[in-house]
Amino acid sequence: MTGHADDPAHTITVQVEAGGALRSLSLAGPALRLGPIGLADAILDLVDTATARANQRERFVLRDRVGGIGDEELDALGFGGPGDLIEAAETTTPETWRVS
Amino acid sequence: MNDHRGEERRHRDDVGGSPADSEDGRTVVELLAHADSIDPAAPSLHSRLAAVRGRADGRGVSATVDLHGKLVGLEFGREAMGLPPMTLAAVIQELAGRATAAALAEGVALLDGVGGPLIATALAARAEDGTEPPRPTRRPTRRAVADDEETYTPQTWAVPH
Repeated sequence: MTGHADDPAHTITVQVEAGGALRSLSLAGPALRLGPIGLADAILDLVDTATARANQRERFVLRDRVGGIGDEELDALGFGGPGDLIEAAETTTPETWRVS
Repeated sequence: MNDHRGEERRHRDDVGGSPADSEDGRTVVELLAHADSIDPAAPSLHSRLAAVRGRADGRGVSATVDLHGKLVGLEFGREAMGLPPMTLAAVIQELAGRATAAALAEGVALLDGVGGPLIATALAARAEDGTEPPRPTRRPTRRAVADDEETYTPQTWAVPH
């Protein structure tokens, strides 16, 4: 279960596992022109976004496979996150993951 | 709440405590004494696990991760910014893997004594298995849904509040 996020303008691409463990990171020349602080912030922001997407996918799968599990239990198990990121992740989650 | 604790104490007086009331050999009296010793104001196990951080440094990069291995801190020095982009990406990935191993070790240490010796031993063995940093993967043509389902892994570190 993975989540992906990228910043094409600065050529940064991130892929993480559910939970946020880094699976792949791609950088090109424009990324380094952000400077040390800008680059670190950009990568961490993309990791947050990718993690929210991966967690959202896992949340849908768990809801589908574990009968009776609700939002409260899923939040307690760590499949939540910042509300704005979750909302953004939901809008980019393919319909195939939206099985309740 | 107070009534409940009073009831516990009456129960303790009634049962007196016999040898090996628990699997680890502690009597009921000892178990109740242990329960009384737990400070309800102390941070919960969940919050202590959530606060775990692992850190690794190298080649002008400092990476910090949480217990899930998620990058939560990243700092670049002059050496790092002089690296070719692909090399820098590889360094970040390697450090994230090492930091994750450190975070897992700290998490296991927190669980020691909470879940019993068998669980602690099993977790320690798993943490040792996971000390090798994850390798970069390049599979742009992977099937999104079916492949993800096959590689689904539960979050064994997720602990309810």
